[in-house]
Amino acid sequence: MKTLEIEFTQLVKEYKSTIYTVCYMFSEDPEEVNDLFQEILVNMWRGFGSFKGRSSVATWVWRVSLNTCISGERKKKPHQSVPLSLNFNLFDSTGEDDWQIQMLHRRISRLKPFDRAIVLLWLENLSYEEIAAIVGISVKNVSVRLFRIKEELKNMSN
Amino acid sequence: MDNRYFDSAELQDMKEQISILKGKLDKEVIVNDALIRKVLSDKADKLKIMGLGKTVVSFLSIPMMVWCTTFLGMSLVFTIVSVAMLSVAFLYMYSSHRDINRTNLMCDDLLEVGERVARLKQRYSSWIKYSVPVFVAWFSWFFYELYNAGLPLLNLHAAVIGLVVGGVIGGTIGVVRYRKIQRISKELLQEIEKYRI
Repeated sequence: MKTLEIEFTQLVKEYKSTIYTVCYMFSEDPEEVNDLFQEILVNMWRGFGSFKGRSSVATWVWRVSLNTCISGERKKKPHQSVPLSLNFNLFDSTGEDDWQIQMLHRRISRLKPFDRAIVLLWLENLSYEEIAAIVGISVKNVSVRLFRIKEELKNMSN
Repeated sequence: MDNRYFDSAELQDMKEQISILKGKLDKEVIVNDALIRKVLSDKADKLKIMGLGKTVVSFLSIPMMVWCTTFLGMSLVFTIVSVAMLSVAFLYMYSSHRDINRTNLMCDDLLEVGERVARLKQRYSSWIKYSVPVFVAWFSWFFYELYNAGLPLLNLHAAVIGLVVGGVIGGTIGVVRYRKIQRISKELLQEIEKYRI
């Protein structure tokens, strides 16, 4: 493998959980998660050479992942992706932890795409400044949005 | 502002739930070297080849059109108009994609990317609105030229029926797709506008 490919592989392994979390929150089934995950890898690879640390690696990974899930051009097609190496299916497992994860998925998937992105970034403990930079809104707008998301989540629970 | 203003029960639950998810995912392999290599070689290379293929087909279709119209004995005016139409189509497609290809789109912020992709989709689907009537007119002229070129009538009628049926089906699919893309893009742009206030 070439040096760039080795670096890229390392980066993917380091951020696999972040990428998978985004895919899971924007998908309806495991096959879609698979497709999205691989589409994100392709988009990351296409931009990897020119990335050159303009932002932190984590920010870049979040941007590419969320952009692919929100704005990417996807067509439903017969399943072609290579399956990911996972020992569980988060969509229909039955353990207590799995139930909690599915509950999270249900809550987040009812939000609009950009709100979904904001809440995911907030749950990752990113600062308001970082969230604002990734989404492309002001810091004040982040706080307003989060307030509205909180209200929406409360209404969902009620 | 501090995150503590948003520590409602729902969000606290969600924080715990995402920790469970992350903990579970961290223990998994998810991707290995072989899978990453396969994704890069299969998908990324395929995209490059498809892009190259489109460019080659675009460039070859103009001489093909000239050869075809000359071979069938069509008029020079028709040949010139056809080549001009193809050239406009290529320039339109090229200019639509130039902005997308020039920068690494996916690295920009979410609203910027969302807006650019939605506008590109709108522009693409608007193309259908203008190109369908132009192509209907072009096909009518094409058959007029064929008729004057002295081809056997039976072959000509079969070709006309085939193309009309194909055109109606294709046109209907195009209109449905156009309306759907326009609606989705409009909704996305409206949502983006709300975030920018």
